[in-house]
Amino acid sequence: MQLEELWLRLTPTFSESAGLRREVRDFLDNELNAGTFVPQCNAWLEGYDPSFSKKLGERGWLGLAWPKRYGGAERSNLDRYVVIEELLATGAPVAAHWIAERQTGPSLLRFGSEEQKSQLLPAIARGECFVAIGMSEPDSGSDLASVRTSARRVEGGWIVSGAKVWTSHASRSHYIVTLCRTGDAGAGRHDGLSQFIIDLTSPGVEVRPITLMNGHAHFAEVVFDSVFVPDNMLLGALGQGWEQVNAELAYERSGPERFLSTFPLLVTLHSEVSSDSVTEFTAIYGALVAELVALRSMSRSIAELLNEGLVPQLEATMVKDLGTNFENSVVDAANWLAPRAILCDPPNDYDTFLTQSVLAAPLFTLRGGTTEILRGIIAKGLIS
Amino acid sequence: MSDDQLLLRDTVHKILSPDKSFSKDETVAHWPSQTWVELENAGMTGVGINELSGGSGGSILDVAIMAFESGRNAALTPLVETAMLAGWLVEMADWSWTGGVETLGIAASATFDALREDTTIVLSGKVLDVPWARFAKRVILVLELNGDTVIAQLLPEVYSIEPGLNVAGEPRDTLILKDVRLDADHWIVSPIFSDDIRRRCAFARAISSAGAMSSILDMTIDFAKDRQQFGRPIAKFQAVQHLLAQLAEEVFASVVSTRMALDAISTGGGDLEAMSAIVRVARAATKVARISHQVHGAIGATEEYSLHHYTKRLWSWRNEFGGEAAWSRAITEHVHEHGGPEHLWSILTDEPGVKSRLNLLIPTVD
Repeated sequence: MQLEELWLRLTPTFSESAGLRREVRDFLDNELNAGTFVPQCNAWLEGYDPSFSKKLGERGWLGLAWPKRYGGAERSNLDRYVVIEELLATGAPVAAHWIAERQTGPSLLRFGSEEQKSQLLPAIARGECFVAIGMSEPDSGSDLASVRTSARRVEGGWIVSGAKVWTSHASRSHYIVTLCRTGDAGAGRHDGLSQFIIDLTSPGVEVRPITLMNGHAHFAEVVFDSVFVPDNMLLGALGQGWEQVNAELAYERSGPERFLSTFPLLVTLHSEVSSDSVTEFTAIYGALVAELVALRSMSRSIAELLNEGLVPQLEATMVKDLGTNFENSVVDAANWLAPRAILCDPPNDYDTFLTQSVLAAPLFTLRGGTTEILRGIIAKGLIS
Repeated sequence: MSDDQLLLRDTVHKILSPDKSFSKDETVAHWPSQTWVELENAGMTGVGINELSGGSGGSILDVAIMAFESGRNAALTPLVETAMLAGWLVEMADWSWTGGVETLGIAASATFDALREDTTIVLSGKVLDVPWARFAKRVILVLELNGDTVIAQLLPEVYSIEPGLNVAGEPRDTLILKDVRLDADHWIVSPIFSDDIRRRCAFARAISSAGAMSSILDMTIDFAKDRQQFGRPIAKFQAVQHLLAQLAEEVFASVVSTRMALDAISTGGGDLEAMSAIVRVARAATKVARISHQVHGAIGATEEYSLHHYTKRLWSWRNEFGGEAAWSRAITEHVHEHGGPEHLWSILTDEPGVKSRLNLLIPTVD
């Protein structure tokens, strides 16, 4: 890898529309003052509020970079970046629409049919249509290529059978984009996979929520018992599922949600540090801020490259690994500088954020590709 | 980056890179006469120094390109000191450039005394770790005097030198001054604080470190692909692959954070970004050196193999002009001075004074 070339290539083109950040902040201030939401850590996965998503849709902040004919605003991806980082930094409840807006939308724009785009994108941009992602299976976790959920050709469509697991918000979403086996795996194991957009109300779909150790049940197992999926809901090309899934990953892995999950904890930490620990706080906090500035630079520079049509896959993967480590190091710093008993019903914001973070943290380095898988991907890219 | 800047990069790289005959004995000072003449002839030693002062002109990005290339080639020259450090202050003081090697020293009050008599200042004491001082035509000295930061120019006849070297063979000399009297032509009250100057110096080292790391990454990947154990290249082993991935991540973080800080500085700010880059790169330097040596095995720690020329620089540069902890504390102070930790997000996103939404939920603590 030619990092010195990257050093030369990066340019200060990150430009956001004047006033946009301010506009988002004013909106969030008003919502907070009105008490419509309570900030939380890990809000992009656990802060579920469809009415809040709808308000964002009304303001045109979902699908900001999409074409107007699909409900977008035809603004840059960098403007979108501004909106989402403001929402994340505040711990706003964005989980309902998050996957649909981040992942399904761009995927539809890239691979979807005209019919799919006109049907789904405007509803996603309004904050009314939520989509889950069906990738992992009970027997296929990190080894995604081994998926066994199958789609069998029938008159007018496909019959899907199998089960997906670790699907966030499946019980409250409208569709699930499902990776299915439609043909032979081939020598490289990556052939014969296809993506289908499956209506979660279809007969034969059963959603079984999975309660996590923190009490949240955003995950679910989704069982497909001979579910009929019409032809027009095949996403992209038959047999191109693997390539399509991988194309999403640069978006999925480099975003600010990969390092801001514990930001509310970092912001409240200073007020809880005892006088004994102030000196240590001064050094530790500065180091955390340095890391955060670096991560934001990396993530924003990838957003720039994506905006220019490049797909910096390896760099995006690095942001995810470094970012989730940072999220954990915020928790470590909090435990060091202002330790608490990690209570179920914490008395104040800091304690609440700490409990939320401690219990959510094990998943930071699992979701979106485990640390071990990511490092394998990076290394293979380096030595290839 | 403009075409001119790409040309600058290539020019510096061409001059510095053929000289891979690294100094055999790094415990002895070596003057890179041939390299320096080539740099001078190409006008590189005056980059960043105003044309009116006798330099070649250029922006901070131009001098940063040279700093990055110096690190990438583990070059043994005072190019960074002359162009990016001393040259910057020479221009600030509106002095003319000597056209030769210049460097910068920062006097610590513990070992240095300064007093003022009318328009004359009188200086005594030691200035430690002045890079390349023994080869300099002039040392630009930064010192504190009656609450002001003073920038002074010292010609070789006013000081003596106790020679010192860092482990990479780069001179880090001690300047000794005994009742040196400087008239008004030789000093100014600095328009910026000594911490700002120290930050510039540490940032220059961070940029060079990022350059050194990019070479270390290439060397380490090549080595891992080449070196066979248990019948296959060690790059095929997952444990080694994870080291390589983490190595690349650290280099990536260093490259991007220095580059983005330069952009922030170019647009008239960048204090926080520069300090963050210094801290991030210092952290990365430790990890990059550790991992690259681990992957290379014992051969990487031998005098014969070139890795140590890069890692020794990282170890030295990471600690110069403050070090990781001091700059971490400075970042926290910066946050306090710009509204406090409850405004961290506004501070990061460059909108001072905008209240963090989270702050609404937190009782104000004094």
